[in-house]
Amino acid sequence: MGAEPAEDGGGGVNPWPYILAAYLLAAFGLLCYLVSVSRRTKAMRAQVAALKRFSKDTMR
Amino acid sequence: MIGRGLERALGILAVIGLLAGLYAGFLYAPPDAVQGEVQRIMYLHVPLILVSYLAFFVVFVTSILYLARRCERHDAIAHSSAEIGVLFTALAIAAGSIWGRPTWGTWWTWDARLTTTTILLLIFIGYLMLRALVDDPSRGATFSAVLGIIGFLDVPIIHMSVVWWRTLHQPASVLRPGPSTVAPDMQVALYTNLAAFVLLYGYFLVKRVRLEEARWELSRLRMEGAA
Amino acid sequence: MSFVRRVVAIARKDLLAEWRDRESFSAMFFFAFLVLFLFNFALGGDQTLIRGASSGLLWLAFTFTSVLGLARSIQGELENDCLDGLLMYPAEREAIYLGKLLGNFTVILVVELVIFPLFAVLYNMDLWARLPKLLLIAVPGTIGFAAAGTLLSAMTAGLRARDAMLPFLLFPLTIPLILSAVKGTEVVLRGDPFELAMPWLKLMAAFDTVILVASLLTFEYLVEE
Repeated sequence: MGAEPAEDGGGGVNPWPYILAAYLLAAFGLLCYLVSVSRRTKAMRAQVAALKRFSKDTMR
Repeated sequence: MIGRGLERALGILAVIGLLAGLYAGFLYAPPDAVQGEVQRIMYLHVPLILVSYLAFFVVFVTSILYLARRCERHDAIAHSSAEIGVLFTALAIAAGSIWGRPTWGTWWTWDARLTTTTILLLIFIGYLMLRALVDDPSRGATFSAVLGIIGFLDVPIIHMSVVWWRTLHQPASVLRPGPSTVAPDMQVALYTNLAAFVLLYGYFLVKRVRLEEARWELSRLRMEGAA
Repeated sequence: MSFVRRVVAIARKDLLAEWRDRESFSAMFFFAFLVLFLFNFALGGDQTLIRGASSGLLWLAFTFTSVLGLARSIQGELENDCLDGLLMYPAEREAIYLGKLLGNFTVILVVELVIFPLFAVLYNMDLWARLPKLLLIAVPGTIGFAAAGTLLSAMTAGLRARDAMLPFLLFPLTIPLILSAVKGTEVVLRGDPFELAMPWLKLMAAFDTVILVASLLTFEYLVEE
């Protein structure tokens, strides 16, 4: 089945821009979310570390 | 506390899975007899939808558990899963729309599944908005839990109503997203991608829950400092 | 006092308060009228189009108006700290929910009963003979909408964006209800045999059951301190 050229669903429309658009959009969305969560976690952890350092200093 | 090891392991597995899925979807599986190459979007669209249903099911279960036991972790998992579910649903609808354009000629159709999925998206966007608007965290968790339970229970009813609404007016020949025949190698590609996206969901979930844990630690430290 | 008595007492309190100044009721009535009136312009005065869409227009008017009523109902509780007083009342939380539901349902139903003749006049339809069947569709639809609305208004009452959040949460959840009500009303208005409306009635019954059971189980969590 892979050997012969398959029919286009849209009658001559090039499917690849659509396929690329869908996959790239999904990748972009997923990556954005990943980056957002990572960034927020990093910021939170930095604040935690700062607070720990601060309390350690004040306990001396 | 969830360990970094789990997060890393899931991340690596997810990447491997996604790469395997891409291979299966583009190189292993044949093009569709009717739709041609564009049908390959199915390997993205269907896993995203199915995993989002899984995510919302997790919201449902953890919401019930939270109301029963008031354990903060259940609330964190519910919130995280809802966020990821909304993301996956939105991307699934977008991918489906892009798939629909060359296939049916339109960006949108009031197809039963697409309509139901959009309603699901609206319900859980509402869930996230409710969370954002309630100031008291314990109240927010409780309200969201109730909404999560009711929202999820509503989905089968929504689906039935939309299907009846469509079938009573649709002619028999209605184009739906999906290959004309699900050849075995297509199934392999589909399941590979499905597994990959489940792993990705797991990775995102663990990561997101760890953010909540960091937030708890921060507020705990702040309260100790104030004491 | 038995459970039922408590429910009725709570509903009576709401309805009496409403009856005293009829503020909510008037606002709802005029709003429904306005919506029906405006639809005429929105559809360009095309009578065929309007008649075709009439059941949908009717239910859009009902649902928008109901949201207005629901919001005002819970707002009244918060403004006068009535909710705290209500919670001190020795009743199970379920009774409070059902009492408020009964109150809301009654107000909405009364508005609908007033709107039906108005609708008949504006859109030139003979509804009198069909009224019993129309009510057979309208009542389950209104029950479900009021049930979901009472639950959600308890959630959204204290929020900053309360006016936007209640409809935004309520409408997606109640789409099966609105859909069924519109379809059922269509069957009645077209004069088709009533069996055609049965699937829609079943759907509304399913929705009403699920929402009532879920609300009864979860309402106490919403109002506890």
